[in-house]
Amino acid sequence: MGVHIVGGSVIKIDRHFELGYRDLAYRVIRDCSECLDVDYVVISSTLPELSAHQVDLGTHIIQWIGRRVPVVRVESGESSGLAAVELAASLVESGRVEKALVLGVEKVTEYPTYTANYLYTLTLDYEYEVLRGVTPPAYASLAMKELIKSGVRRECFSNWAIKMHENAAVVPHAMLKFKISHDSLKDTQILADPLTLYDSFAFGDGAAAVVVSSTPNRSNSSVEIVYSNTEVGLPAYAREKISDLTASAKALKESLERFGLDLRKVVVELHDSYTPYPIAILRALRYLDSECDLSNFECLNLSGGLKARGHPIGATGVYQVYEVFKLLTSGLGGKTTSSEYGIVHSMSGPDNLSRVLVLKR
Amino acid sequence: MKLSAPQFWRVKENQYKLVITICKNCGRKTVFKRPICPHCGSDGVEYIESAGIGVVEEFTKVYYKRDSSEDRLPEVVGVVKLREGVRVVGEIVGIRSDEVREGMEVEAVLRKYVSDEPYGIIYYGLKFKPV
Amino acid sequence: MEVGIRGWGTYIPRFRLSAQEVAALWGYDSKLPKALGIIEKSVAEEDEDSVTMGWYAAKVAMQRAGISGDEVDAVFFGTESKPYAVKPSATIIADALGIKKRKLASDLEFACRAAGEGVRISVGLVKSGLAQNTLVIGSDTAQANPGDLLDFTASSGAVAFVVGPGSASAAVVEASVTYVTDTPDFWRRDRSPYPEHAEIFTGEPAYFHHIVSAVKLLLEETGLKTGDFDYAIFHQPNGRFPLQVARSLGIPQEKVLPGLVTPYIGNTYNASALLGLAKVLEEARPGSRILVATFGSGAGSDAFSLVVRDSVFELVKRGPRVVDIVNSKVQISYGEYSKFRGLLLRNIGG
Repeated sequence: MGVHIVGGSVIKIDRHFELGYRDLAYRVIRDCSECLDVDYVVISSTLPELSAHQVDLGTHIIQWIGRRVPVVRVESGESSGLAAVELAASLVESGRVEKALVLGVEKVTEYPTYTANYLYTLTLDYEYEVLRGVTPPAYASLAMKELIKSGVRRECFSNWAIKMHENAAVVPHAMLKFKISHDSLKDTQILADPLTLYDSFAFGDGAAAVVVSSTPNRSNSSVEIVYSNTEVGLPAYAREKISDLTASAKALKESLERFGLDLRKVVVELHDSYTPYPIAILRALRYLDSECDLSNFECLNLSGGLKARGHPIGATGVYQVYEVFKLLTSGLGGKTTSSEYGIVHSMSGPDNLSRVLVLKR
Repeated sequence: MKLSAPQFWRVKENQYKLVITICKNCGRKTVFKRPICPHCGSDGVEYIESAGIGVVEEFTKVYYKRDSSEDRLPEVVGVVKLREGVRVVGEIVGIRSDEVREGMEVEAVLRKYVSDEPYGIIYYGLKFKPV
Repeated sequence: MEVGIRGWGTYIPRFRLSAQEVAALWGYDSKLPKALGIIEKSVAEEDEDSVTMGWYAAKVAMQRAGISGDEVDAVFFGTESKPYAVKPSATIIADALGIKKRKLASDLEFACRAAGEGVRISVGLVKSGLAQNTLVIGSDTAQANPGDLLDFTASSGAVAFVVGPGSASAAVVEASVTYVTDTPDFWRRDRSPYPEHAEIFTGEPAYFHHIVSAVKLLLEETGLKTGDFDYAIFHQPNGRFPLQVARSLGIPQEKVLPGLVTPYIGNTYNASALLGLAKVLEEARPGSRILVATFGSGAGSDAFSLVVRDSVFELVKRGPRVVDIVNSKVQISYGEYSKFRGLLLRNIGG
């Protein structure tokens, strides 16, 4: 028994002006034969009410693609995608369904960037953060300042961005496939001093699908979901430090210890919406000193991360799972690994909630 | 934007005042009047009102544009440690953004949060200005 | 029963626009600011309005008076720049200050003298026993048609007073009188963003006639002479009118200058003369007698005679002083002024 990921599909993260929510959803599954052979669909999406005036998006997608399969939509902020996989895995594990499709889909380009920024800001607490002028980059910049004060050099965050762009360059579905250097970082716009545009994720539309099944594929083309856990953090304003990402650190630590894993040796996708966050998490887990040497990590965000692959908010977690699934099986953009395990980390807001999923070859 | 009248009316105590929740179980203090301690989950809480004086612990100058924010940019958002020992995040106003310093003493002031232009409701609440 | 001022508070935004910059932009001769008696004016930020400024002044007034929200029986808000045409501002301020629900509360409008009338209403309420203490706020983000003469002076600021029993007061209201007529010297029509005025007609038949008439009535009723006053404070639409009206009443300039704030912060409309009073209370010795005459277009004037009491020294210490607030300033450009005050025509949200 067990729960397995037996297939999936993604489309390039981009400004898909010609495709709406349902078009993106159809596009990602139409060439994925295993995707439609399911008895349950979990749709993951964060913004459709706000960006497309659409409630009950899941049902409308299923009707549009001419299926009669039960569907539910999951929304859990930026971690929606991983929440959807978790839910599908539970449905399979419980015996309620044999095979479930998880379909993450998001549109962030229906309006100008300032409106998308506003919608994204609503992942924070509207009444107690958003109304007070607090935004995601404001928190990220305060976290960066704290880390700098604790001895982390500014270049450390830039190194992360540079590495993510390098990694994304060969990933077919990545949004930003160009390389950047310390030189090109110098003149980049500031979002919230000292955080720049290059410290921020790429905003794009996207759709990703994975199929969760009670039985593995016959060939070595499936992976097992061996563990998932979720931690809820304190609101950022109630912490000692905004850069105390204790929920992420705890969820990751527990997952690694459970299987005796070293993060440097396994396939891992960390939620790097803003560069200070993965740095803070890796420091909390004692993988990084102030030198921030990332070269010891064998398979760290090979997708390019949210930073360069892109962050189609509610679809991102499904992209991450797809990528780890591919890296553990047939490979991703020509990259293969010998790692037995894969770790997916997703969080909403500045560690308001963090989820971890452990996959095994 | 369409701002709700009941939503603001319901939470205005926490916008007009800096109420601090003190947990009788774990002893921790958290900003905002809340029914349950976010640290330990106890509902054994009591409230005090902050005098609204504090010190800027850290701040950032924000250029991040989102709907209806353009007339305020660049804005300064900071973490203020209140005299009562509690941190609160908020905007720092009444000062040029380049003049803000860590350690600066600030006091809470009523300002407009958002205004549903041109016919809708105005949300007021506290920000911080230099003393 | 004596009634007096138990506490006062003021608010002046830190940002200042120089009158020379207004002159240069709109093509006025550089000698005009001096003729108007204006150096610079205070400018509220984008997120400020008469409510937020009035809140601050009222908070300080209550702090000076040493009273809690449970002790305030009435809140009067005098303004001609209400954020809501319909919906009281007084209730917002009262709620944000934690003032009890059982109270009177309303916004008063009489151009620049509504808060002056608020003080007189308060004296009546306290004297009659209907109220123990009242809170009177004068606050304006004064509007002026950009480029108009008013653009040199129309500024932002607030003042607030706690009116209560004379025994607890820094100054008692010895006498007061109001003189009003129907004189259309200055107005703002419903839905119009800026006021209109009849220029030279705002002077003699309006400002001067009403203030002089109110002051003369006050002198007649009290038997006092102008020489009995140590300070004279008049409504300050510019830096010149108060000195001219003093001259016509035979009051020397040195009694007017201590309460003259408009040259440094502009005309704060409802806070104008009363901000001058706050400043004088912070400088006057006990026993001093103060003449205050407000003016509101339309038109009317309230004349007050106040006598400073010993407790004034203690109350001064309990809050920021006008002179310090006036001196704490940052210069801004006309561009920033336009942004702060929303004078630019733009698509909201764009």
